[in-house]
Amino acid sequence: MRVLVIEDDEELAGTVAAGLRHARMAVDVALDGQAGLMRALVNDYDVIVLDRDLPVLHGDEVCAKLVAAGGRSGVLMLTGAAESEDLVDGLGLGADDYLPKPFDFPVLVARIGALARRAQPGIPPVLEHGDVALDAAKRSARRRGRELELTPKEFGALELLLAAQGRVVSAEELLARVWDENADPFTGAVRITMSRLRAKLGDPPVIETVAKAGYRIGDP
Amino acid sequence: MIGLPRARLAPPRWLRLPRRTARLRLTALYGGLFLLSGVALVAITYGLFERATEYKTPHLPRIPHTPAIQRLKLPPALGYAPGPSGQGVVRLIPRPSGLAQAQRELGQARRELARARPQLVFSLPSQLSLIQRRVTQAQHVLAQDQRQLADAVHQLAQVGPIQTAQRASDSHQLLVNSGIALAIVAVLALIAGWLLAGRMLRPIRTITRTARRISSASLHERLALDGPQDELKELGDTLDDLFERLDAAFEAQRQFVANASHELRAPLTRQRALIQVALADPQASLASLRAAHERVLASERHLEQMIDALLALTRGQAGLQRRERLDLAGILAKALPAREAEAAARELTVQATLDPAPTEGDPRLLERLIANLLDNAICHNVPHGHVAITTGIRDGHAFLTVANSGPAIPPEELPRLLQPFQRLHGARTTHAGGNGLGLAIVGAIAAAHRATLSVQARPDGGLSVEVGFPCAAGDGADAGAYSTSSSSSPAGSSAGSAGAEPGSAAAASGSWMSGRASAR
Repeated sequence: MRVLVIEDDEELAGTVAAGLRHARMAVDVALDGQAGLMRALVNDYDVIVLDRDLPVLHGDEVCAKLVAAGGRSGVLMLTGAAESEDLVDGLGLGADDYLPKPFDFPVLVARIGALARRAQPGIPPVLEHGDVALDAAKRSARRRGRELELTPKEFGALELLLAAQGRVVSAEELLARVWDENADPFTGAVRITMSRLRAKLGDPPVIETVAKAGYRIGDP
Repeated sequence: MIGLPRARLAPPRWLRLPRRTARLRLTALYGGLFLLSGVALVAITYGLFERATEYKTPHLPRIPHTPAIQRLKLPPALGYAPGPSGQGVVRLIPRPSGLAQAQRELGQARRELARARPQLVFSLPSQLSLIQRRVTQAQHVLAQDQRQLADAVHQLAQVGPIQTAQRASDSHQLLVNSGIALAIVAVLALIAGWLLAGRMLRPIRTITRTARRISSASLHERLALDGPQDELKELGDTLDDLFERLDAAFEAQRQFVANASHELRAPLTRQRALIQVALADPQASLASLRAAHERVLASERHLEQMIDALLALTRGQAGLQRRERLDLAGILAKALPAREAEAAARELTVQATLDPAPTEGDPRLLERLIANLLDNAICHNVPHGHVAITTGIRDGHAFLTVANSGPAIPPEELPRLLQPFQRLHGARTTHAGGNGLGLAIVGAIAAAHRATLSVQARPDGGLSVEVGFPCAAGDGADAGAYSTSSSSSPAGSSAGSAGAEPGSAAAASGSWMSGRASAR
């Protein structure tokens, strides 16, 4: 799952990004509205965590422009102003959710997960295929009831493949939606991660490689 | 009304006396004045009427002009005499002379006749009958005259009372009519007065109603009285101005509270996120937890600074707690070394020209003012930029100027920078350092010292802030001494001499100058 955090407080942004990475999300950070909007328009994020009081370009404008651009990203607004009018304003601008500061970090993670599910309609909170189960909300994956120790990338890749429900997912798509923008597309990171994921999933193999197309789990 | 339980004693609404409103009083005043002048008018008219009839010649009946009446020589018999009521009444006073004379003549004729009768009875019957005829004739004429006279007298006797009665009834009628007219007009005057007073007082009612409605939540309302430019309109406009200022003050207060809560929330958010993320980290180690702790502590310090700054702002706004003589150059000389490292880290050239600038003030507040100006100049600067600090006396005023290079600031942004929690670029950012209160505190402290604060955007970027203090009272001689001591320093030297107060002379003698352009 790929998340963009647009927050002008550098320290807070860094902390949130670190926390979300612990929760196995691919996180990018932007420190002002303009930079955040550019990233959001270029990359394919599941959720954008948007601070409202942003320099250069105000959070409201970023939100309005994101909605106008028609992306599939869910927008979660963060703000210090906890008045109900602000909440109404924020949601009226097209934000999908709203969290007043100071927020509880687990709540933020849970809401990001919920928004990501909403961004792909029809995806249940617990993705299952055979004996593999992935709980997106709890950020946990199991096989035959045994907890899998997955890195964020591995978890993201598994989540994306399970959510695709038999569709072939290309390496480019994996890179775009699971890796953050620091990933180098030429390092074979996807291939390495996929082989590690296969090893952790164990036998019988779940992930099938489709030649020159990508990966898939299950039959179409 | 005061102190009485109204619910128990209140009569039905229509029975209750109207409140003693200004409208009622004005109406009573109008009505009373009108009534008074009306009564005076009627009295004067009545008096004049009476006076006019008193001097008018009475209209007497015409007495027939007959020889008998002429013989009676009657006219002088009529005259005026004051009546019992004090008013002039025509009274007939019959004078017997004319009539008596005729009767005397008649009697004489009769006597002559009686004397002559024995001689005349037989000798002169014709003459006798002539005399008798003449007597009869005279008697006849006399009787006629008497009748006429009686008529005239009767007529005359009647004329007086009739005329008196007529006049009395006229006066009465006049009085009654005037009274009725006065009553009608007085009622009309009361109604007109009521309406007029209501019209005159309408703006006041508007003012009362609006002022009652206006609360701190609806201070944006205005009276906006229309109508002529009179005293009431003036009052309304004055109140509108007052509301305007109150509104602005309340709005500023609200904004300040909102901003303060936002600014205080930011470090809280950071701390909570830091702690929760550190706790949620599945691979948490001692080192990562320690790092998180340190960051929380740093955030705590930021919060503390913010609270300090808020307190400083409040203190500055509260005015001077104490006032003592001090030298701006001395304070600067103490404040500058502490910022040397920071300036060097940002590769800034700092020039301090510290001539004595004696003034009076609260040393703690002035230290804060100077510290804020220096921090601002260093913080909001560009790499390899410069900061120029000057103190001295100009036109008898101690002044302090801090000019620094930095990002270009549009002049229209300047007033905003003096507001609490306002930073450049229209946003309240925290990552650039500072809490957004620096210049607001400077402004508040300057205002408490009755100092002038002039903030100018430099054309090539950065700010130039000058604070001009009123001169310390009664230290003209000292100021002279300061200026002579400083005149020994080379004029125009970038490194100023700081011949400050004797106590701080040692600290200031080094004439602090930092220009370390350290290469990386």
